Amino acid sequence: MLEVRQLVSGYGPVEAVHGIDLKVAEGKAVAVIGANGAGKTTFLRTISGLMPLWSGSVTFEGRDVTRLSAHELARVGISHVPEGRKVFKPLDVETNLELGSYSRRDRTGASTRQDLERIYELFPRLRERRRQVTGTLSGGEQQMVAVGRALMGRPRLLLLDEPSLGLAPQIFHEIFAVLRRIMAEGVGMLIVEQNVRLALENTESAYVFQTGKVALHGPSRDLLTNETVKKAYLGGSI
Amino acid sequence: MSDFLQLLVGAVTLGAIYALIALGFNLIFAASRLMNFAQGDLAMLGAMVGVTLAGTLHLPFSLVVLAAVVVVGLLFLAFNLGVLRPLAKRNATLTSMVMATLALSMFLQGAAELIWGRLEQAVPSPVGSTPLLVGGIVIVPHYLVVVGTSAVAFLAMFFFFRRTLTGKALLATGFEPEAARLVGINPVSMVALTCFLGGGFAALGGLIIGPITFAAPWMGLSLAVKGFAASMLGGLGSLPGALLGGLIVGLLETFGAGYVSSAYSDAIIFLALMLILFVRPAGLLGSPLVTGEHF
Repeated sequence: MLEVRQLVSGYGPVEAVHGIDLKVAEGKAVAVIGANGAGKTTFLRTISGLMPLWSGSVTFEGRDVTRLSAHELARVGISHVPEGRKVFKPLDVETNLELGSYSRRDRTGASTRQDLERIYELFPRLRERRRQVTGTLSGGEQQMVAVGRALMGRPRLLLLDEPSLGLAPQIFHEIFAVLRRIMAEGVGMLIVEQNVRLALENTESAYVFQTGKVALHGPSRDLLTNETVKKAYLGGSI
Repeated sequence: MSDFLQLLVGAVTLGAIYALIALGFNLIFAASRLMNFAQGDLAMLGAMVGVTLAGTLHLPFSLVVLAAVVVVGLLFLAFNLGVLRPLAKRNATLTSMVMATLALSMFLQGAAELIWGRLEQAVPSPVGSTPLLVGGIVIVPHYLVVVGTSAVAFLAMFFFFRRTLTGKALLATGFEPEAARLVGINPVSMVALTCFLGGGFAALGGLIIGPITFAAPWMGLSLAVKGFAASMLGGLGSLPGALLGGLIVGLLETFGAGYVSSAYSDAIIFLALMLILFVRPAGLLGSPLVTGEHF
């Protein structure tokens, strides 16, 4: 459903991503792993239009979306959960979620209520906190708001940037259980993750980035036992 | 006691106008974090539109209000598209964009002098000038127009921010511009919307203060300074803050002039501003969550 060809991008005059090819299939989860500065976040931010694409192409569900800007990509069904969550802190939880439906042209009062109900069913904790100012929530709850907000747009592809960052493993597993239910409905997922084990255990395939290039790529379970990956990222030699 | 009540009537009227100017100021700030220093001169233009349309052409006041709001709103929207946007595309800092609004302020004042001359001119009030006597207090009928207009403007904006998704999206754009784009909000159109509304509310303030103070090309500076003080006092970017701040500035100015000296009334306003900011840096109703991250 997502096909990236020869993507090149960077920040300022610095090229950080040098020609990446990557595919995500419907209902599948793909991980992008690699060291700090390998270009993972730049890559993800370029796909969702937050950073300018220098060259290459992005196709989503057969449509060329290379030149779309961030808010237009949200409208074609790509939701990005940004690094550091970026929830609207001064607004309450429910308003944050409602804003997630902004990208939907066909939204009505009824469809928004129905989607809210679904998010509250997926994250019961958010229902309890619906009128609370989001900035006062714990990190894990804020991540639930960020994921819930992304899901309110009824995306067909979800981009997640460092979803485990700063979270207790238990909270992350709770959030991932929800993501698996979403995937079962055919939603694709592209996850950038520093926690390599977590990423490989929860995805079908993975790409290992090294200095802005794909160094390795294959089924996640194979990479888990791959000697290079073990040594470099799983602390196999320590 | 009746002196006090008499001053209070004037204070609330003046406060309602400062609140309108602060409202436009805060709207623009809420979406873009830009401080628009041309706010006072946009208000002046509103008054000047009143001079021409109501004074010279004798058009009905409702039409004059509509024309002032639309013309000045569109003017500032054009400034946004023609100057601020190109600056942003060249990666200009927010500070240089603020300087551009200062340049606009000077330009508007000069242009107004060329078109309308330097002299003070009258803006006719839509209501009669026979004062109403209520319990020994004199109320100029136009004061009711001022307070009513401001109340309607604030009620409309409260509804917009509390009840509509577009209003909430506008706030979200200010809080987290990137996350706002990721949920499908186009920040460019949000900022354009606030530029139109901000210019329109400034024009409304200028148009309705006209019958009280007269209109002149140099009236913008004092309005900008008071509106800015109201905005800071209440909390930059806050809607109830604009209302509260406007009323406080109106009270300080009127009672300062009434009980101390009109020569010191501006000094009293800014002394109070400093004291309040010392205790509450984000203003009385400003949220530290909003301002803290941006300074």
